[in-house]
Amino acid sequence: MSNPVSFSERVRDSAQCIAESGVAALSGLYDLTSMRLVRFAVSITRNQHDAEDAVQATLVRVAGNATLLSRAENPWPYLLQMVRNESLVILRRKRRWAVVSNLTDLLTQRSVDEVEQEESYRAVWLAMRSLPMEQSEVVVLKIWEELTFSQIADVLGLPAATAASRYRYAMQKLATELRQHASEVSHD
Amino acid sequence: MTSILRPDGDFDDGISPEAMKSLEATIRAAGQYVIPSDNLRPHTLEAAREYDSDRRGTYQFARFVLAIAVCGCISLPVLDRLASWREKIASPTSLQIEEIALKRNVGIDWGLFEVFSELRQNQAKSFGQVTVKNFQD
Repeated sequence: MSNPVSFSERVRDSAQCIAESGVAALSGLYDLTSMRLVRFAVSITRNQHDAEDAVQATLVRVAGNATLLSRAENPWPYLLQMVRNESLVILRRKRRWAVVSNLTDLLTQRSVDEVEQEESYRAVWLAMRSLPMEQSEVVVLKIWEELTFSQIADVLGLPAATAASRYRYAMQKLATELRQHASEVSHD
Repeated sequence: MTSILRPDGDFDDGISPEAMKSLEATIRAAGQYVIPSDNLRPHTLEAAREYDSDRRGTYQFARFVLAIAVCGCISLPVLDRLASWREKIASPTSLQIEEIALKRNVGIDWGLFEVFSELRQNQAKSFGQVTVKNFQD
């Protein structure tokens, strides 16, 4: 996983390219961020299709005014915040707040050497889906995006202490869920 | 469970550091499991292009409307000026000539002659007045 500061600078460079060259340069920002943005959006929308809609809407918005992103103090957290806002708009429109207990909507990748790991990955994603959105988004930002609690607090618009306590509760629940899953697998 | 703010802005967690590290590593490893669909890239780029061309179209329409408004602002005083000149140079209609002929109790031919003469005199006067005014200015 790349350093968030340098990743933020790469996002800034891509945004500057879009500001200078226009929409044609959007593919660079897409290739750099799409996977991570979709992953974050899925933790909010609980649905891959909605998450992709949110990412698409965000990137189109960025293409319309890339200078906003390139001039942001921290472009990567700023972009995450934009995706979060779009995801919440979609969520409000579709009223899909219910917890999803399967992964059928997700598009996953499996490489040959990771077949054994797939069960573990599925367990992690299922456990993540069992968390309330407020907790799962903190986990995504903390572990997958490697942001500090103060950066997470900026993205989510809440105090750092609240982000930390949500993370703590989430990790406790995840530990319990994964332990249960491991015991079920061993019984099978 | 207590939390202590570290100098880097993160918090120490109550769960044992080893268990936490192990759990974080398990979750981290699953980060690349979910991927965007193949359609997302072309759809996003196409949507961005459409948005850009719509925006350009809106700008062009706004510029056209602005140009029309500017032309209108410039041409209105000119049209007013032309309308005032039209009153001075307009000829009477056949109905007006007929009315004048009836009023003066003369034939239509003679009426036409009189009206034409008056018109010429009036036009000469009004142009004369303008010319005199211009000289006075």
